[in-house]
Amino acid sequence: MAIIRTENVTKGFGGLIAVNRVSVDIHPEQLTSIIGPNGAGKSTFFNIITGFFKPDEGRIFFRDEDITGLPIHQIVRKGISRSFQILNIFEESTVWDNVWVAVQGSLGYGKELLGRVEKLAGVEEETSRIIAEMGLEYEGGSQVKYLSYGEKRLLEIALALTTRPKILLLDEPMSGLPADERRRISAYIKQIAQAVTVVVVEHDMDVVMAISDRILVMYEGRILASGTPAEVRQDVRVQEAYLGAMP
Amino acid sequence: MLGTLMAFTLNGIVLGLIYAVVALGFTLILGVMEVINFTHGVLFAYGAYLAYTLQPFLGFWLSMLVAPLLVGLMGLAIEFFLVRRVYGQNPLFGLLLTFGLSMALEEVIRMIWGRVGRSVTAPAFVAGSLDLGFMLYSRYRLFLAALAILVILAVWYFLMRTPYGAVIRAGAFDAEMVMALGKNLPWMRSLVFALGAVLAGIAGVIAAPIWSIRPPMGTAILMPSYLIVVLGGIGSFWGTIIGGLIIGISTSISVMIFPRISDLVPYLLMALVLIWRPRGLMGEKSILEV
Amino acid sequence: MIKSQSTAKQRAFPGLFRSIHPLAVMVIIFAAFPAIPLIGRFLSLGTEVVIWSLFALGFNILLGYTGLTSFGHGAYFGIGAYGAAIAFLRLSHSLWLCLLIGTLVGGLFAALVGLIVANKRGIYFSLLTIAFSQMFFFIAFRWDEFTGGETGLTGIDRQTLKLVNLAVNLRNPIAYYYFVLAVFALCAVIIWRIVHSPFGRVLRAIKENELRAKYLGYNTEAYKWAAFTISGLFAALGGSLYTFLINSAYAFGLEWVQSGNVVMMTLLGGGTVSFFGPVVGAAIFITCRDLLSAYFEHWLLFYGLLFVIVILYVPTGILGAAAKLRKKHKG
Repeated sequence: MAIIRTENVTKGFGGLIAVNRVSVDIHPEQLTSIIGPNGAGKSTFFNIITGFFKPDEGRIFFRDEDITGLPIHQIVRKGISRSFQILNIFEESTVWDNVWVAVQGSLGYGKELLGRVEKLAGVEEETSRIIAEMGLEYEGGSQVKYLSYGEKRLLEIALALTTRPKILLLDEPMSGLPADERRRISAYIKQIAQAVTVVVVEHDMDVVMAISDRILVMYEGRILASGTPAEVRQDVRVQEAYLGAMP
Repeated sequence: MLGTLMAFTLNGIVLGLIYAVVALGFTLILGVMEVINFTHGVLFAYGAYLAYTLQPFLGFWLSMLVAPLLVGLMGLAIEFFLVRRVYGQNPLFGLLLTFGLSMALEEVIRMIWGRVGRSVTAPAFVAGSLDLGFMLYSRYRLFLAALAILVILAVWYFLMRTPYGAVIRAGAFDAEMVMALGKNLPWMRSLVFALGAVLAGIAGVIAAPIWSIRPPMGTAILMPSYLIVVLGGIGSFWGTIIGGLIIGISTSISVMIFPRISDLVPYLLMALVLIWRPRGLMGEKSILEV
Repeated sequence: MIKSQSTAKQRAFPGLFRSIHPLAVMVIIFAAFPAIPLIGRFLSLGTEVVIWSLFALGFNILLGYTGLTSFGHGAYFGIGAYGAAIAFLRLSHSLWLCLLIGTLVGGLFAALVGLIVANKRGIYFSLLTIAFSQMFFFIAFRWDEFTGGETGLTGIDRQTLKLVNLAVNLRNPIAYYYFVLAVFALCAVIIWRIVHSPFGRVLRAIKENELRAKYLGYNTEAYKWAAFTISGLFAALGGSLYTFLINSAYAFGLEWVQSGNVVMMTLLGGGTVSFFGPVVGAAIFITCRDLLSAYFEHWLLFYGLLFVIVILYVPTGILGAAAKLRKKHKG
């Protein structure tokens, strides 16, 4: 059974059709990457699956359940989580507070109007555990804006994981990272993929080829090809699309 | 009965056209700069007061040209010295800044022109009334409507048919464009702010002969502007015009039918429209909502 | 979290008071007010400060902690005032009951408007709150039978309050001052608890990054609605208390200028950086307004310019500026 299935998903902006009748299955056991030249519709497609955009047409299923048009928080509660191309964390807070509020939500807290934060069972332990796992114990009290870019990226993925997703969508996790940080993050992604279905939109072909089990190639709003890294590399249409997109 | 209804409808159209000119300036500034410009109403008042002061010296036509330009200069100064300094910050700042400024500027009106009402007489060539065939109607109001329509068309031409307008329109719809423009083209913001002020000024000048010119007149016209923008949809040119006409006509007719709640009718309309179409009549999904 | 709470305490009240809870310090300062001879003479001004402090403190849940700029909360203050007045004139002379009704009616209207505006953003949110507040103003202004229209409602009176076997004559201004202060103290504790609760953490998360809060699974619109409604309840309670201060209720209480005032107080004191900002702001704002209007004919000019100066030069408010100064002094 596919974990995510889309049927004829279409989304336009003004006159431009960004995603054009895309129907795909995403399988739970595989690390799937979506690639394609700029403007191919990858990010839009991502945003539709995660509820950020509502599709103009078509439907999205999560484990055969129709989730089209659900509000974001419900989609997240079903088990879909994501990171963003532009870092999306609580920049003004400490690492500890970032993780805390994420853990608090994942354990179903937040409505305690007059409750005491220190009395929420399990939140503190879980927060410490996650921060230790990231290797940021010593950074817990410092504000996020003082972290390195790679550490922020790591934190964002960790925040996305606190919701205990069944599927995690990472939107260009390598963008803006230097080479050594790229190795760190891609190793982390491979590690996550052991437990959670991971989908990645990424420009860095070396990373994509190294980590993916399956690659979807998008071009002009459609799925042009799909297959293993080796198959995609051989595909003539893909080569043409990429060459054609180059200046 | 029918004659009265006609008269009230015509009054409503004239009122709506004035509202539309004011609201057009307001929504332009709102859409491009994400600033609720509380001084917009008081700029309208300055237009009327300047017309009152200048007309004895300059005559009708010349003061109609000079007064809005002076108001435009005021707008330019407000933008350049004050509003410019809060761009890109908490939107609350722009709100409170112009809120305070509008109170101060209104008090300046009281200091210069006093607390009592003033009046401006319409020029002789449009005095009296005109036989429309089915009824007699004030010549000045017809003249005023024609002027307002001319102004609206001129703004439309500027926004839709000139390169400057294209840049401004892009700014009104696209958050990234706004940011890009804010960084690269500060002159555009000054221009838009001045243009908005000029529109308020023009409306004040041409409405002066039929308006009760008193210090709080500026505050009083702000509310219809909000309503029109909400009703018509933020950033929509025709939405603003249609919104202005709807508010004008409904206010005028409800004065005739339910005089007691005539202030309220436009708000009820707004509430209904919002429930039916959350973005207003012609509003597109914009940067201003989730 | 626990760490950042204690630093907030230190920022608001340095030195001497560090060991006492800052809320207690605030209430003690207010309680000493009538004892100071000069201020004692302007007791109704003091009561007004406490009422607006309550309003602004509740309002800051929305403005400072959730990051939503409502420019229409004056309406809920005004509706609360009418609710209490109408309850007094038509239903019961019990102060408790009138306050309760005023608070609930104002809160109900806030809840309804909240449903429409909770999913709107930034300036559009502000625009709608203004429009709705003005709508309520016109309703109050025109509905003569119920609200007294232009003349308002008069003839409200503070009855003697019975606490166990102690009778307190609230007609005495000092007694009413302490009554209002007691209500304020209770509310301040509640508001403190709200902003430091798990719920309050979510509000802060929304302020900082609503999209991330959504992707953490929080129904942010519901939280924003709740913050809107809660701040509306406190506004309405403030309005109800105000009715019994001036023994009347008028439509001008709903006007958008009042809404602007509460925003300004909250910001002026430093509501965006400190829990106590709104209280400091309310005290200074109301005193300034009274002094200016007593000595200058065109005081509104200075009053308006005060807004401009605060926004341009002390945007984090008095407590924000004080904290910055202290930092400079230390480092």
